[in-house]
Amino acid sequence: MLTGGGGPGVRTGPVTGVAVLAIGALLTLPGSAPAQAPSEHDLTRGRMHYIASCARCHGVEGAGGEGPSLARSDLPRAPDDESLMRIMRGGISGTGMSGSWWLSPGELSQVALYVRSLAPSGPGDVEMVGDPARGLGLFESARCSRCHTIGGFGTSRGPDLTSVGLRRGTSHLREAVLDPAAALPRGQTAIAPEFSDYLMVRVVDSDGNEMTGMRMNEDTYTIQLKDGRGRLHSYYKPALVELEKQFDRSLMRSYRDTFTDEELDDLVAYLSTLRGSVRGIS
Amino acid sequence: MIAARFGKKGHAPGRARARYGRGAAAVRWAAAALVAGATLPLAPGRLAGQVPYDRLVNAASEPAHWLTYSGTYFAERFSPLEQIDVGNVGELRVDWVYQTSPGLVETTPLVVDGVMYLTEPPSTVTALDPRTGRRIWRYVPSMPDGTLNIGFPRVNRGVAILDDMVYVGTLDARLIALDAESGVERWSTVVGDNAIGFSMTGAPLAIDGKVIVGVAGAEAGIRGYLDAYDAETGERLWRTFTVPAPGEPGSDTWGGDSWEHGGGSTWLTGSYDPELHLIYWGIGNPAPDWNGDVRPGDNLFTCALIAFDADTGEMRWWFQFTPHDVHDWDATEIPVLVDLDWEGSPRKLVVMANRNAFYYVLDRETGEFLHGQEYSKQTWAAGLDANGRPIVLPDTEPTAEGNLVWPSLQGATNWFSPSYHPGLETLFVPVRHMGAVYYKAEAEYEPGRPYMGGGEQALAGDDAWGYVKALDVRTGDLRWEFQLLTPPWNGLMATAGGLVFGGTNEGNFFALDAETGESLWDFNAGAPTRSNPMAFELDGRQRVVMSAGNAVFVFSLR
Repeated sequence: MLTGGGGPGVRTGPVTGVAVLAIGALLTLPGSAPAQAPSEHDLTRGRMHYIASCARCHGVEGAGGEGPSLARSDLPRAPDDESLMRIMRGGISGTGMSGSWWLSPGELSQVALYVRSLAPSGPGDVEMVGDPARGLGLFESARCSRCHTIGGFGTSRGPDLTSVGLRRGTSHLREAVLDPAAALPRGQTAIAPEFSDYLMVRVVDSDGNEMTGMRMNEDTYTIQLKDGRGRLHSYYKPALVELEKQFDRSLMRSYRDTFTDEELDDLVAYLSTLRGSVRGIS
Repeated sequence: MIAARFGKKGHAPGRARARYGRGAAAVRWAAAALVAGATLPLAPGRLAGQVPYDRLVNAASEPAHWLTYSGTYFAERFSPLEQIDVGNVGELRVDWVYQTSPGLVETTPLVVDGVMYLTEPPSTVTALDPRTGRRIWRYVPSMPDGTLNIGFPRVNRGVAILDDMVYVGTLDARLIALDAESGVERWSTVVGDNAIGFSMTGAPLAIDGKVIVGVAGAEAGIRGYLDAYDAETGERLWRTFTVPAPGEPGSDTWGGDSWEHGGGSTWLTGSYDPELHLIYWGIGNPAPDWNGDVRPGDNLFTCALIAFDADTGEMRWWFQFTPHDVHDWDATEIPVLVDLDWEGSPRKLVVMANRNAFYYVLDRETGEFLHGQEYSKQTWAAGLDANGRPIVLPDTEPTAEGNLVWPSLQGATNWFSPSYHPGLETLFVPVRHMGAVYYKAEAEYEPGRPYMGGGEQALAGDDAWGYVKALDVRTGDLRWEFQLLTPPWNGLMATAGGLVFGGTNEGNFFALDAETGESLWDFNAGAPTRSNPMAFELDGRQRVVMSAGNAVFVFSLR
């Protein structure tokens, strides 16, 4: 039957946290923590479920992408297996992390084993190319804070970056700098988390006035856009003559010709260190 | 087809329109209109709903009231009230709002003899003053902690009323009869074992002295059935399993012991033909959902429509829409009964816009397949053969790596109701235009645990959307469509005022012109809508009822 979790995200992909918990709360975790030495069978099964449910955002080998890297010895939001399984089951509200409520407790445990197995075996974290300190310098010299905030400073035209290192993997950060339109964030503005944030939309009203802005929210009848000066524009869609969603554009320009490869590594390394706020972490 | 446009608020009236149609339906609904205007005001303050079976049979002649889940036994979800029409719908105002208990609200209220009866999450029954929304009584069934709902949220879609009792199915799979005047419990009976996943979310169907109820739980690997209970005593009168045991007809469509946990739930309310004395009930998916390896064969009678003899529960006929389903495409959608001229002679039909994205017309006396065609994007079948069996395309099953198929597991439509306008001979369907990557995994049955064998990642956000589609009831041809930002979870109601009411996930209530699809009114209620509209009349004013979030809204012209 599966009539869904609830709200606009009623599907087994991105789902609202509350609804997932309502279902997930009924699944009880197994009494004991996963065994110390996971069996090959459990790892194989865990990897299979991981690929089906997690790899789209976190990468097959856990290197991250739209979601953060899981190939780490310290998962900031999941210090132990219980919290890891709770997050996998219920998601993290206010982020793009949805719950995989259809996984049974045993399957969740197998996925947890697989996720833990992704951590580097030696001491330390995943090898980070690039120098965060130099990256900070580039962030400042390129005046990124004219559009982005970190820790409450800057201008909030584009996405807040305070905890972007927790939310995104390095490949996604790199793409966002090189080709912003291809890496529009999700789960940042008020629109349902599956939608692209900051989508460029061009509208023409019945008087012929044209405006292009970033989508902040939308429903069947209305759309809310923010212009380049940060002002909000609200439109009743039936009254518009034209409404064009520009999926191939972003208000942020590409920095492909600005940074060298090495500089890009530095900038991404810096962004990856941004884990300053725990806001939104549940 | 006409591409639907938004209209201007305060749309000009005055177009001639077909109100009641032709033939038998015209007589039926025209009579209703006369009664509506003249002789049936709500009796003030009368709390005991004396609703004998005859009133339910003739529900269409009492448009001031809403007596069954889908409005009538034929399940049209059509209101013959016409005070609110294409010319004045822009002037709709909120009469009152009722705030329910927390949870998802999927209820269709009933209004009868001056009282509104609705359910609140998870299985609470409430009687309200329909003039003000003030509560008269409330019944909260006690349910054990840890009551299971595997595969669906903790919802309830409404009550049934018969004589002076109100009936509700509970999340822990009991059928409870309440005194309509006081909410006092008259009897309670266990319909299924919740510990192994049986549950009830649909409104019961009350007929002559019987209450018909189905069960949910295919995602927990139940073996489904449809039950009839004595309305007075709660004694079970019959039970018909939807998955046959070895030796029973259809058992050769199941491999091994797979029938024992074969699914085939019956979780949404069926329709009923009092003259034929047949109950039409849609049957849910086989279990496990996405891994069909353990259940080779067609898996009868899952994903089928069954005509049950109302007295005995015996299957008169069945028609399977999706043999050996591996996408969770339950056939529980509302079967709508229509009487039409078919190729020159009057014929009794049942139509269904199925979750599998095809629209079907069947003869409801025999189950004969008369016509079917795609009404929403699908990529799993090349079409239907002469018997209505889908011509399944290769490589459309779920796989370990994932396989993109339209529609998503939630289907091209789902539990939320379609609406049939007899005058326009049009079926209005809320449509989910959405694909999904389906995954297959191993499934092992454990009592009271999910038994699904996979999952999906649905295309979402800007890659999925919804429609209200107006289908020619004979052919399923598209007359118009109205696009919605996201795939809807809210049903529709057409009215004799020429309108189609509905709602969106983003909280928009709307009214469309039933003939053109033009939007004539909208209101942002501020929370997702996921119920079915209904209408009643009180103090000479037509009221339209829709829910959003945890609020039940009542609108009228005033």
